[in-house]
Amino acid sequence: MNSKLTQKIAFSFLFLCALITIAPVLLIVVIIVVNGISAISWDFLTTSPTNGMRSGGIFPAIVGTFYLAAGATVISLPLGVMGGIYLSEYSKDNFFTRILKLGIVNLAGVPSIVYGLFGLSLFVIYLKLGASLVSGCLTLAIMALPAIITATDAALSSVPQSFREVSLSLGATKWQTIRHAVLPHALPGIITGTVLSNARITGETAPILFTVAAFYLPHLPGSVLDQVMALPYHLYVISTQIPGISKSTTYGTALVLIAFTLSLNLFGIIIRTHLRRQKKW
Amino acid sequence: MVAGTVKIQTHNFNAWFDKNQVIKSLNMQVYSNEILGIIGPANSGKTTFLKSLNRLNDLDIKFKMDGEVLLDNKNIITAIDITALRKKMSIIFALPLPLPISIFENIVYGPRMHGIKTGLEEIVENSLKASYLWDEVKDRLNESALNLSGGQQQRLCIARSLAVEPEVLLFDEPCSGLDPISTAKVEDAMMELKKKYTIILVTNNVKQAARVSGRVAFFLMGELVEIDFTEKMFTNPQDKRTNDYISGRFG
Repeated sequence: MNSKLTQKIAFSFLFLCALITIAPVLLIVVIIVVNGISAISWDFLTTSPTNGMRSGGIFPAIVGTFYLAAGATVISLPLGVMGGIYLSEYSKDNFFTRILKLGIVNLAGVPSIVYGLFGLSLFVIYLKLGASLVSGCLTLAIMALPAIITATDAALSSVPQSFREVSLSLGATKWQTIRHAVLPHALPGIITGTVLSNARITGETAPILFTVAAFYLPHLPGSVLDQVMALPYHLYVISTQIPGISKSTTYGTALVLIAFTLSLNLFGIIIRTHLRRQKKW
Repeated sequence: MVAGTVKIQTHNFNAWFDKNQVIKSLNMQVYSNEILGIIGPANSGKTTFLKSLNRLNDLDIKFKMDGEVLLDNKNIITAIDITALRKKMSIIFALPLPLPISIFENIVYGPRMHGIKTGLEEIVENSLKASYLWDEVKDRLNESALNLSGGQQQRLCIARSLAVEPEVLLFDEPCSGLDPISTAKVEDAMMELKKKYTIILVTNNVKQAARVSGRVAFFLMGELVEIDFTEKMFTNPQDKRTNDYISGRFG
């Protein structure tokens, strides 16, 4: 077989593989958009569900998911970034650190239902926070932490060692060095990791199942100790528990959830691009 | 013997990486306002010695040292305030290492870390003039330092070191990556700088040591073989090994 033909076959095969990977994702999006777009209206986005959730809007679920995403980020971002800084810059490379890092990486692979049950036993029952916004945010934050810590650690490690040496050699302290010579250059990586991680947890159902999500709650939460509706759980409920609901409502809800996650990602990409443009590296 | 007072002296200074002794019982003096060239083949302990002076070797956990290194009669091996020490002994690395920020910000980085908030423009101008870079960059201080050529970057690094008002400048093969014209400019800057600072120049380039330094020390396998005035070292070295190295028989 001549080499040109081999090359063509290899190219076609790789292209096919790429196509097969993307196709299901595209298909899902297309199906959801086609079936759900008719349900999307101003009323759908801004009113509460009515008629046993068969009609009306999904406003409380949107707000609930927004609160959960924001709350989880507020808790997990500082904790995760500081943990990552400790691991990357301060911890000595010994047995304990390696076990710790291995543990964190493995935590990222723990099934979400386990986080849900953990949140239920620790926050809801033991700390007596009940099924509430704060329990849900804490559970989601814990679930987001491993990815944020790992991303921070990786982003810091990718900053050249020479930046640290230069800064220290000019008489800066270790903390000044991290704060001014390392962290700014790791920020795009940290933000990407955080946003990706939080976009993922926004779509999770299992962690909020026992900790915060309300089956039907047609008003907005008054305090952090209230339950809220959330898009993923609402979607689960209307597609399995409500007989006779119109297809477009279910698909419409899914569409809103996807759009929500996507816009979170987009937000992250915009911040990252902006930071990268500032970076004269 | 040499004009100027003793700025740095070492007594039985030893240094190790793990079990590998890289500096063996070093005894020498560095005088203020001189340029002391340190020459020697690779792995002779030159850079290690330089980085011991401002304790940058501390970053490597395998590094150990003992003996005495006195800066103005204070032992730096037992120094507690290492940041103050590093401010006094500023190092210029072998490769130009500008931070990926503007020219201006590179220079004020050190002063900012030491809490200086006013007069930064003046610091930048003075430092850049002292390193012979001002005329080339005065109109583009807010550009990225990475847009400069290699030689300009190295002079920027010199300016950045000067901005923290050090007493000793440690040059670690500062011209190893530079073309001859850039090298000449850096050397010019050094000659001018020795009026105000004590300079230790580690170099792989024997000719460079001959050009700029007043005295030369020859290191070999972690030992100080010989230290003397440049002229004497290059015309009448006492040790055969020095002669062999200088005349290019090894290294």
